[in-house]
Amino acid sequence: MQETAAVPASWPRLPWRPKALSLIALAVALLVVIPLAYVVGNALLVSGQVWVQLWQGRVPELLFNTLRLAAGVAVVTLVCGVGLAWLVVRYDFPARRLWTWLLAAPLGIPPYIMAYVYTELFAFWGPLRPLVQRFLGSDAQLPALYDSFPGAVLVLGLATYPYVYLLSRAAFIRTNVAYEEAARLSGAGRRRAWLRVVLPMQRPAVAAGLFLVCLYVMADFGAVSILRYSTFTRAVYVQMTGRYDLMGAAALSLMLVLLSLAFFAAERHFRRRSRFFQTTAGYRPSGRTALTGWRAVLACGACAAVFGLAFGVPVAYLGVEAVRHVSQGALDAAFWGYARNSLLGAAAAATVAVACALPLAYVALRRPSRGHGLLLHAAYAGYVLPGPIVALGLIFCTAHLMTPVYGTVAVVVLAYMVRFFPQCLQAGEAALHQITPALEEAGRSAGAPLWRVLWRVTLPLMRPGLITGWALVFVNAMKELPATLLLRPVGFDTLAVRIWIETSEEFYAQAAPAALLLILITLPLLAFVLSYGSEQRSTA
Amino acid sequence: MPDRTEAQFARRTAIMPYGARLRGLIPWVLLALVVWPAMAASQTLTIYSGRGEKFTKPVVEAFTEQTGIAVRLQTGASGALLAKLRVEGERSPADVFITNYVGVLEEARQRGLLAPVTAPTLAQIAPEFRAVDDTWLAFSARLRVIVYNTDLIRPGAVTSLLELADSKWQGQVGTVTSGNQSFIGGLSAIYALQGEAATEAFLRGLRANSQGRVLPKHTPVVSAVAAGQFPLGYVNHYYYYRHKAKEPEAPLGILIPDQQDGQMGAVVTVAGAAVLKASQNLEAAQEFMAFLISPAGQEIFAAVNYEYPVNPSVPAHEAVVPRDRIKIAPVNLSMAHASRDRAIALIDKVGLD
Repeated sequence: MQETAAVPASWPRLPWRPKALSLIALAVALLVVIPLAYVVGNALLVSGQVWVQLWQGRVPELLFNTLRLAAGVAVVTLVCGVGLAWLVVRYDFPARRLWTWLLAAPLGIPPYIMAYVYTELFAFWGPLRPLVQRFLGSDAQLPALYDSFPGAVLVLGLATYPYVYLLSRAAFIRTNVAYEEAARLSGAGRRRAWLRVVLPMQRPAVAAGLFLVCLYVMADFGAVSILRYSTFTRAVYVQMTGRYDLMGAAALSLMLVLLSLAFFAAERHFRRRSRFFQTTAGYRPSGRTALTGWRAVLACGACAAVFGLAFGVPVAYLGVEAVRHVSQGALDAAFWGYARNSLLGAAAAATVAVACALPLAYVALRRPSRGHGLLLHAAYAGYVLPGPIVALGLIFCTAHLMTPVYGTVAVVVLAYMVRFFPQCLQAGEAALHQITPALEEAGRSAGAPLWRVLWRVTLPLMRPGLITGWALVFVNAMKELPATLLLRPVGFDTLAVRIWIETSEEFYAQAAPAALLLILITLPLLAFVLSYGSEQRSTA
Repeated sequence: MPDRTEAQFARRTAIMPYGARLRGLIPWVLLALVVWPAMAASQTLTIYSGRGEKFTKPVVEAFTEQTGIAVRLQTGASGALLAKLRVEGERSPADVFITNYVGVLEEARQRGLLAPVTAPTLAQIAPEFRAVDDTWLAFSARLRVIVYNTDLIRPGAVTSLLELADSKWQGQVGTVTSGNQSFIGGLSAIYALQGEAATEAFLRGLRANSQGRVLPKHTPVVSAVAAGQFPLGYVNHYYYYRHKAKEPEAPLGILIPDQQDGQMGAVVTVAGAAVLKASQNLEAAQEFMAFLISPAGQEIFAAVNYEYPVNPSVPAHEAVVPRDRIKIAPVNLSMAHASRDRAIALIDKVGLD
């Protein structure tokens, strides 16, 4: 926001300000779109015959696999995410405040770690098999998670439901209970009021969460590789590194992008049909219904089950492994250096992303035009690009056009921003959605210049959304592996890179402590974000 | 830029609470942007390595100690590093490329990314360990072998890799996932020697014998065989010696396959290195290549990972079967690599895990 703040106040009023914002938005979109441009450029060089070969070969199967996985994970995250968010916002039960942030904790667990732990547990040599056989007889077999649809849905669902949970929770908190009360007073039952009034108002936030999850699943590389479940992203990597075919990889990536545009259109459609603004003037937060007896037990049980599977199990497994190895001297000074690198890169990326998301979200929502819509589309389209492809695009652009920057941490930060920008954008957009333009117009008509209205009115109202966006980018940047691996300057190993190096040659000594530290670092941050949200709520 | 007026200054201070938060991060970001490129600018040798850091680091450190040339080691996945080199083109900061599997170097050679290795270095190793145009060289070799559980199998029950596909071993062979580079490398050699039909039969048999129980890495294969979950396992030779070093009492045996008359000989895969054409540091790069092949460098590979040195003057680790007692399969590395695409197509066709 430095740029907008620096615009001299004496500039002519109307025609200039929107253009300044548009230019900033354009600059941001151009930066984010670099890898996409690389992909399109390469894909255009692919001959028609190769396209036909790709299409007749694995593409239909990959398409089916990818869509099926996205749909499966969407259902899991919808049930877990929205259900649990509703539970912790509207009901009171033992340890509710604790559950509120524990349920977001799985966000800190990289999907590839989740996949690794679960495949190890379920494997025939893993620790679960003897247990199962003891209770169910020696013929009992565990389902193999490898190359199985339920396995991939389970792992990715557990890893991504917190996105839906966090965005739904924020939306539930912001929701003015007055609408619901009006419905109840008009004679609607509790369930009917929920279905007809409350839930439809959450549609933008829930759709935003599901959209993020679907694209995340489509772009995921680590977990599907470990699970050996073939999606587009995995095929892209195989094409690029196993068959040395960069153009084929670009062509497959482009198909992935086109697929994501379809999702994007669907989400926008959903959102356009349901636009709700709320004024803070009449805002009252909802009360909480206290749950007692078996209902309280049930609520706690639901929270515990999801939390246990998504966080307890992986962390316990890593803890046991780490304890085994730390005694062998796995922790040294270098280890803390990796943690510092992770923190530094992620914090820089999150900050840059938030600053860049604001102008883009603002122009797209408040000054809807074809051009602004296109900018927004472009910023989202890169989200599904597989990490290794993003890295290649940035290498190409920076090595040849921005040579002094190449090989610096700045490129890594840029990669994080490109990869996770839409999460920040999404959170910002969702927040902006619920602020009525009337408030800004009031400020403008009182004579304040636009940037001042943004600072004093819009931004403070968006703050919870922006902090959520910052946290999402930060946490994901902490976990990011494929792009970091290719772009990091020599010596700039992050915790995620370290986990990869340690596991790739089958020495696990540092992998478990590194994974554990990576997860633990994100916990206080998530706690802060969530307590911040609650504080907003109580003071609102 | 007009001078800042009082009013503007007042406005700027009014926004301090937000600005201060953002600004707190700026020194860190600037520091990061300044310090790392400065570190990168010093004259050192840059190595892209697709090999595990545990195996390259000792050699790199010994090289720096001997020559005083500092090395920056960038570890990654071989295939991804090759893609990176191709995209970087002549802007690449890399001087040397090390890979776990020499096929990646052959791909780099065919794309014109490599510079020839100097003659004195090449002269120390046999032609089968070099590229056709001397642009890459192998520095260590490993064998594809069979490990067996000595409580369950008597020595001599199996003599050939191809017998692992025999239907009498149904469900009894532990193997690594077919995406593994050593697996593909070994299979490419088998393809080059035996042809399409025999390779497909081998894969089909292996699939039946390992169905549903394929392991992600080699180490768990050896552990599973030692624990008796499989009587037989198909791995690289050094995994056996690593396990034995940790657990000398384990009921684990090693069989170097295909040694009898009429059999193809042991299948070898190699790790290699090359100098990059884009290197700004050719002299140091060549010096590093010479060090890899020198007795000092070769002894490290033998000692750290039980691999076979390619320099004939350096003996293998005392624990491993000596080189001169092994019949090696007569397949040259470029030949094996030429079969690679066909071998992968067969894996897809058979549907191996």
